[in-house]
Amino acid sequence: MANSRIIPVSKSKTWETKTLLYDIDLLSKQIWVKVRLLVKDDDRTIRTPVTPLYSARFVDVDNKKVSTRNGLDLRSLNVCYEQVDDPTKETNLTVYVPYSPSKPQWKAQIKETIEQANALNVTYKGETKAKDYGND
Amino acid sequence: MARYYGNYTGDDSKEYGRIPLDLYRVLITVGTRGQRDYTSLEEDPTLIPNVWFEFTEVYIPRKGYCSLPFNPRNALLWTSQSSYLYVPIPWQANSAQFNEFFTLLKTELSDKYLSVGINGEFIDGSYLSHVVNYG
Repeated sequence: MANSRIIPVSKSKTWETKTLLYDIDLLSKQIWVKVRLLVKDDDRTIRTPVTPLYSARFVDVDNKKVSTRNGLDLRSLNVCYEQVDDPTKETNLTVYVPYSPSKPQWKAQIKETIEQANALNVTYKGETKAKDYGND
Repeated sequence: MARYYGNYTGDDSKEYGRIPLDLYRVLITVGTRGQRDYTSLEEDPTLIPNVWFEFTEVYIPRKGYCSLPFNPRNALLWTSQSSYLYVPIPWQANSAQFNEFFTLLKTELSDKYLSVGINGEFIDGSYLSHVVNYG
């Protein structure tokens, strides 16, 4: 029997998962986390604008080996991007900040994200975990 | 009513002086945002590690204080499924005091709390621009 895939009529987003080396706030630990980047459906080019300091922390680790975040909300920027192919539309995407605030790259990465040509508004939220903080 | 103030170090590494740092309990089942209940001066040192009190002073009414341009990072110390103690954390991540506070909470005060949570700072667009360009 032919194994045919049914493509849904409504457009859904396609993502690519990367592994990021992330500085935890507590006790200077570093962990691997999985992050998703938005990709184009047709040719899988990455649509989430990735700045140099962000990609500097991508590691070549199979993301199947990375454990789940267990409720940890990573330090992140919520960026409202004007869509390049349709400037009347916006997309809200999450860009993680893998650098600890005590490092100079923290400010530098946020600055390069804000300065992207199509970034309309950027907000920052520090590392958050509702319960069981410190139990990783 | 026990309230405190102290210097707060932001994620931007800037030190914000004389910021009110209130300790209070929240019962989340009461009201839309929970009912706030301030703790007492006598009780407070039994609730959280002493390092917090080394960095803060008792609030003096009618003295001038500054406000933070964003919401401070804070810890939520859950005493039950529906109530927690709110503790603002005035030190930056990875500082000695930050690590000491959370380590002591786990090693010495773990019988007091079911669980500990942390809320990071929330910095909005305009202030964030200011932080990275001028901070």
